[in-house]
Amino acid sequence: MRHPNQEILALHAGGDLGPFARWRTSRHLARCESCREEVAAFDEVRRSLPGLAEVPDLQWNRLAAEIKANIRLGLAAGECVRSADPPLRQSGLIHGGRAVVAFACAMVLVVTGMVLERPLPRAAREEGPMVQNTQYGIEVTAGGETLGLTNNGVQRVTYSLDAQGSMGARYVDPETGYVTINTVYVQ
Amino acid sequence: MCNNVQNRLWLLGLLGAAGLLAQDAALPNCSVTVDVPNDAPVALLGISNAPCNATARGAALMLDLHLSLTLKNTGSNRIHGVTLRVVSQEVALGGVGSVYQPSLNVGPGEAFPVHIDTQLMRPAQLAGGPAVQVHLDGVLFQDLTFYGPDRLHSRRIMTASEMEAQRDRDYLKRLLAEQGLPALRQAMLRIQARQDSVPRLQGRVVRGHTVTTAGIAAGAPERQAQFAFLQFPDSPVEPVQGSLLIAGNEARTPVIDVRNRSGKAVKYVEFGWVLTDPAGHDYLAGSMPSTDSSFALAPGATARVRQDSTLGFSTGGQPVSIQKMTGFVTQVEFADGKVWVPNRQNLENPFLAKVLAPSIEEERLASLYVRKGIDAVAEELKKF
Amino acid sequence: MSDDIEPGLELLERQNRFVSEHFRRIFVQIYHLVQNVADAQDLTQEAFIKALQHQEQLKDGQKAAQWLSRIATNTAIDFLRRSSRATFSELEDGLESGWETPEQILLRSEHREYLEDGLRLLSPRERAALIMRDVEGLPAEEVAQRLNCSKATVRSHIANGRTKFRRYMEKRKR
Repeated sequence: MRHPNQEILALHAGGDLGPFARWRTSRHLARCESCREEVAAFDEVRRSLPGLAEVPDLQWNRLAAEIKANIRLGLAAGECVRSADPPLRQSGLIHGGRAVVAFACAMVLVVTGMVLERPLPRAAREEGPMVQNTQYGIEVTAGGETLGLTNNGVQRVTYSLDAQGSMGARYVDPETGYVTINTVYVQ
Repeated sequence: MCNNVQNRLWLLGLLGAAGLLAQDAALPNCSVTVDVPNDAPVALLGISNAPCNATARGAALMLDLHLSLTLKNTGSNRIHGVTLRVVSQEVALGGVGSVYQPSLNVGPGEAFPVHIDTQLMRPAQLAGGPAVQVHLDGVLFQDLTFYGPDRLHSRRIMTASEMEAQRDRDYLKRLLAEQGLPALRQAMLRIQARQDSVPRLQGRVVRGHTVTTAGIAAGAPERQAQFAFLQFPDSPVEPVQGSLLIAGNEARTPVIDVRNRSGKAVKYVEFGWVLTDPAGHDYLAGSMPSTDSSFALAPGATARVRQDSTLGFSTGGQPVSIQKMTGFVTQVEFADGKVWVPNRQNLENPFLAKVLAPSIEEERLASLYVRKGIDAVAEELKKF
Repeated sequence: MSDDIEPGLELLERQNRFVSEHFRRIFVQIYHLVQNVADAQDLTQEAFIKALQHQEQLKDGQKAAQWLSRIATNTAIDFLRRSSRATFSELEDGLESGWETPEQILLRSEHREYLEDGLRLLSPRERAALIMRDVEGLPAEEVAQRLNCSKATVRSHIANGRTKFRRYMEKRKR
């Protein structure tokens, strides 16, 4: 008795054979226990794989915000490069105005990347003291100086803004299970 | 009340050299002090080592504050909340900070931890070393009595939080009693779903001056708009009318007239805001308190609540235009110190349900569910 | 407040809507292939950037979704080809799940590592074909479209993937 090869049996387990091949293989399997065992082994593979379907529990809103921000950066960088006169000369060096544009765009990316990775204090243009929440935590700005108060990598932070001039960041302490609310008040 | 003798702990944190970015100058020492009055119903048992590290990051100084205090309940009542006032030269740039731990349940003689776990950033060129002072601002007990200097109005804040927590625990206990663990589990899952799905805003508030932002606000004309209001029938006060100035994504100088329809004098009112953008998306924008210390609303009287501030809103780094603002009462404090908060029926309003994040207690219990399972949540509910 | 929106902002809003509409689906699709949240985030961004740089392709909603899926798959496959490093365990992410006890979460994490070890033995295209067919349940025609190859080639990838994975499972049992 001729047996179907491994590829045929592997495809049969997932219903991936064409109609004629499926019929022929089914007929063979009805008579051949060893091939049935082979197909059962492939079935086991298919049964275990859906474990990969699970996606971790994520903060989708925050993820979406980060992705959108980075997409904007990427598109802006693409515009920068396109705004330089194409094509580049074959010498491989970038000359003149294109160099300025390319360098400026690179600096924008580097600086922005640094800001996104490591928020730096920046001088505020506003006159009064200001408090705000960012993706990293709470920032207070006064007299041209900025203080940042981060949440130290805690996930799921709920912010609350008060029109009087305070910002609260609430999260569950992963160690103790207690809720902690950090509030910064503008005076 | 505090007396003149204070327990004081001085700590010096050594500098951390990790993460330096090409800095040659020596970094200043940072220090932390913790004040707990002798007559306080809590005693400071211990404090973590190396609570403060300073590291240079380019033009900034990053202070890693990992303060773990162990406090002990030395009173005879169960403690349900603690607020610490955190003052530092850095935070004094804009004000003070506080760390509040609600939903505690600490019996007499029991010890409990309070973590101040955060990073402060400040410009490196600020003079002097970083210094952080931590003061006990308030302790709330199970029977809603309070101890502390209350400089941050922590009594009112903690009382309101505790009442909300009791409200939510009562609901969950009823759910458990009537429908069992599966229903409680479903409630935990719903809370988590809300945590993930509630739309989030980034906000900023400036006292008294306009916030200049790139984008819509920079070129947007200012217009006067009326507040819409959600009324809660059982609220002791009702918003009568309100207005604010809107310019793009900024809300300026909000004003709300409020009438006391209860039989008791009111000394504090707070409103929540829901912002609606031109596309019809709703967000919880923030809150508006009556901050005037002389605010007093006699029964039947009407008074004005006003904030001379400018709030700006964005999401994902993009300004959110304000089409409409809707206000609703979130907290009322009577002259006798009693506090009113909305009940669950008020908050289950469909308009609010999609913008309100879970309450503090809901979040705590849902987190407990994730870590320890539904049986732990049921056990926890029994403790209150 | 003026209702006029600057043209630049209109484009931005259109792009934001496009991203909002598809990002979760694309993220999950890529995550299934690379099994790492951080990589999936980077690759999702990369895929959208590529797509949004060809605005003319996005006019037809249905075709845009398919085209975006294809870009996402190719981006992930290119990444798998480039990177020879091991994928990281998702243990921390697994702890966020709200359904299980800590013991169940740990078991699930170990099972995931077991599966990921097996996937590493496959070529990027075999891995992609196997995941799309046996994890996501896509029909072979759809898999072929995303991989931009014939059905016969897809079947070959699927068969090879299942065979290699089966050998791996049998070795682990011994």
